[in-house]
Amino acid sequence: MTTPLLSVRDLEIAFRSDGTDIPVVRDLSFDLAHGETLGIVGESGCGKSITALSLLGLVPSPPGRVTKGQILFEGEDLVGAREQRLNQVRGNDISMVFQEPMTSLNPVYTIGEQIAETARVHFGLSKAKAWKRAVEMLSLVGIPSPDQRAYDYPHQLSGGMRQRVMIAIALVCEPKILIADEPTTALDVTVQAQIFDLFQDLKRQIGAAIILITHDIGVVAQMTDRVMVMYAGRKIEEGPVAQFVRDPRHPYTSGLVSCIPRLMMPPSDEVEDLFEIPGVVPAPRDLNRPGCPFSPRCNRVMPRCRDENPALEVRADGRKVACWLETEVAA
Amino acid sequence: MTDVTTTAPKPVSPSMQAWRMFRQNHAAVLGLGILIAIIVISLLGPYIYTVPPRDMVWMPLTPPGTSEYVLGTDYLGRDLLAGLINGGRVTLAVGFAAALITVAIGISVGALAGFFGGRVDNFLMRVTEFFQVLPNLLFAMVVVMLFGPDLLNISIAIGIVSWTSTARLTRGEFMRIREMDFVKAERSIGAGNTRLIWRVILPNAAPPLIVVSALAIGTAILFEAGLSFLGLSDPNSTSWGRMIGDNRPYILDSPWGVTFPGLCIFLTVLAISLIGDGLNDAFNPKLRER
Amino acid sequence: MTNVLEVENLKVHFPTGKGGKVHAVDGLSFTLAPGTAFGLVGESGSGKTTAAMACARLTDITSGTVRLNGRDITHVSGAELKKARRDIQVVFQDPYASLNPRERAGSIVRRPMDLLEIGSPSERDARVDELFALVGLRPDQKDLFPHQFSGGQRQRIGVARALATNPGLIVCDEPVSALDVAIQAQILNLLGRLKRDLGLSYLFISHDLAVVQHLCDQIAVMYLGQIVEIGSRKELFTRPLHPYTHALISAVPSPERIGLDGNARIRLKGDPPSPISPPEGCRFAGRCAFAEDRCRATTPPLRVIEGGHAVACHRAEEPDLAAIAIAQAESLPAG
Repeated sequence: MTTPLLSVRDLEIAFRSDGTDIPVVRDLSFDLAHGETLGIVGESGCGKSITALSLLGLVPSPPGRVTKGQILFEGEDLVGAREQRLNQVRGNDISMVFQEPMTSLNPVYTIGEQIAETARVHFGLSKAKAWKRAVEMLSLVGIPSPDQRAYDYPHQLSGGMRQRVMIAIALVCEPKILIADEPTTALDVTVQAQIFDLFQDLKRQIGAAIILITHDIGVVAQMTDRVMVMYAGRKIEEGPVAQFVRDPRHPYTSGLVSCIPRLMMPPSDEVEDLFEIPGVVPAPRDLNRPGCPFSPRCNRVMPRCRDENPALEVRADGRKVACWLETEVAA
Repeated sequence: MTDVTTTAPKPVSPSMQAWRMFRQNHAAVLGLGILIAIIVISLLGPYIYTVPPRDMVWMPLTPPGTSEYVLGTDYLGRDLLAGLINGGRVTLAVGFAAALITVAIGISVGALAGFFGGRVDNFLMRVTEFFQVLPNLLFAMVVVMLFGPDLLNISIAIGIVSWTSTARLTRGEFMRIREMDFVKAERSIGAGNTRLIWRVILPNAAPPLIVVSALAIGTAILFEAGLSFLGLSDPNSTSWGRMIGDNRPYILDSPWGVTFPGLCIFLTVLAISLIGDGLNDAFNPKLRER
Repeated sequence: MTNVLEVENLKVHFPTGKGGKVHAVDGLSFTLAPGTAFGLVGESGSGKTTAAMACARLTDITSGTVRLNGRDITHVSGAELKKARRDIQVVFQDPYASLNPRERAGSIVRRPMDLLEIGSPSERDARVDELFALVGLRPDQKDLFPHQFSGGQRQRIGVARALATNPGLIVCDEPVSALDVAIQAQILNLLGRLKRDLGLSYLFISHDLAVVQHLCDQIAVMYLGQIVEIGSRKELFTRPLHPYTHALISAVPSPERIGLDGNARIRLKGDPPSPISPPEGCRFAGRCAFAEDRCRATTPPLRVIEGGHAVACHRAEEPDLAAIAIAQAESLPAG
């Protein structure tokens, strides 16, 4: 078996508070293959974003830090790697697109300069060549008349255009992995659709693997190959996207899939109430209680769930689920 | 989380949160301690240490530690310690009064300008700019000379020249907060402008205003010292600044005559700065999250 | 029975710094029947929120008429406006910004009754308890401050505040878009239940077609300050007519559309034109794949196709547009 592009093993990330380490991500393992799109789904506070940051060595420290585990990028462990090496990886191999495009761009430089600078540092290009490359990138991400727009400052662009610029900066070094953390949350639906079309095109052209972090089940279904569901810092389910949508196994996953209203054409005559997941995600410091962290909100909770936390089991079909319901069925 | 726990959590107001944060800042708590000590000494001191501050009690220019007047005497043979204790009252009174005037004018002007915007804002900001470009010390001196150097006039003079930055800060805060949804929500339930300005927006703009108000006391004390040093002080009362001004000609013969009041001013202003710093940290939500 | 809300030719223009005018809402007309929910859908810059705020008299109205329960409230002020406010209340988008951080939850909910002078003090206290129970909060949470609640709970407080004066109409400005997925369902169900149980009417603002379809009876699609299509839920989602409506429907990420090829979708080009100087003719023409010369020349009026279904498009009934609607329907589940 070939080594996966990225392999995360038993990752634990903790935040220090009042002198104790409080884990916000625990026992997290997953792989990412070349050219694959992996979706990470969960409510806010489930550890999605901090996991993404850890892949780039960007966990805010202090107070946060990777306390256990490995992040193997092409076999090389990035946990504990030197800052210099991480800088290389961030520039060359893994790049990230954030949620809010306005705050991620430097307002005092033109967008052309910002892309060219990245290209110049990365490929050691001359200024003129780097500028040419910047214009090419702008055209690649679908910005009209790129040779003129390259002279624009970020505030002169609409939200969708800015996000395209962010993607251009992220892609200029031809990374092997693109991490997108809720890249379209701040954008309109039609613009979101444009950005996702762009992702699909770029994936075909450049062949990068994508990690897409989102809370939108529709986006996941449309964009990803494989989905990983996180709850309270743990992976609780993982599998191919079609099964995630059509046959979710974990009660949290099925809750997420059925709690959103679906657009229907033609619409139903009667509107039923949506499925509700009661309560909220527990705070990390409340996670030391025994039992499954989802049990207080679960509609299929059993006595056992309150005492023991189920481990992630690999099913016969390769899907992974951390729920006692699965083991009960298997047994 | 509240769904899981059975007992309701205790209410924690934003002010309580800030106080908790403030208490963790040792420098600020130290500053608060020093300031309280200075206030207590100034208020109660004259009743305990009853040496008259303005009478000749001993030989002039006696160095500290050589007589029963532990800090020595000045060029008129007045007890320095008694002067400091009594001068603290005057200095603090002027400091607080001037800061109060600064804050009252600054907040009123800033609040109206920021809340109403448009022409009101334009007019008030021109007025603010007018006061801003006046040379502060000169203008204050003119006011004091015109109306006579009593404590109230001195406080007013200091207040009049130093309210502009408070007004600008208040205006900025009001402009930011008036756009927030909870202000719109208050409107939608029938709140009038008076309520919006004083009861809704002002409390939410308070944190930075409290910080600058605290610092304004320090600035006012320094300003008063400056005026007194130049001879513009109430002839019927002695402040620390006045003591420095009076003893200045004899600085080579009796350096203690300017050193001790200078030290008092330094300590007071330092304490106020530490408190201001602590308040700033306590109100800053970014630091609070850590 | 009189309509809860009647809006006629509503215009809201904002002056820009340079002497121009932003045509935020430019000639909006609709009516809202009692006990129904009216959805205003559109993207940012469509003027949907401005329109709603104008109806609630929270934004100055340039021209047009707003009638609440048959009474003209366009220019009322003072006691008359206060009286109107009892009947129209607002739930805001961001529950983190819409509650005064320095006020306790109980007093936030009580405040509308205090300011609008409803009931005796003891009646107001009793009403607060009743409202807390109604929106699913515990009475012992009354003394807590907003920052001590989760996003969903804060929005419940916002809903309770809006219900305090027992209004007939509630303006909901994107009430769930700032909330986590799992929490959205809680609030949508709450709003649905309140509508059924209390006979409330909603003016519901959203960018999310699925949410609007779930909750609204009548829907209007807005583009650049104007309604481009309006109809009942059934009409609009059975046979959408305007190319912009098609684009919106097509852009909805649906779980049913697994791995849907981007080419099967309607791609909109570019950004909406500036609302300061809207173009001649149809405002959508510049981004429309079906635009012809006449679209750029003359503004299409909003014309009734059948029943309550109206559209502002010259070419709405032509076969190439109808084909798009069928393609859309095939990629979505039927109800």
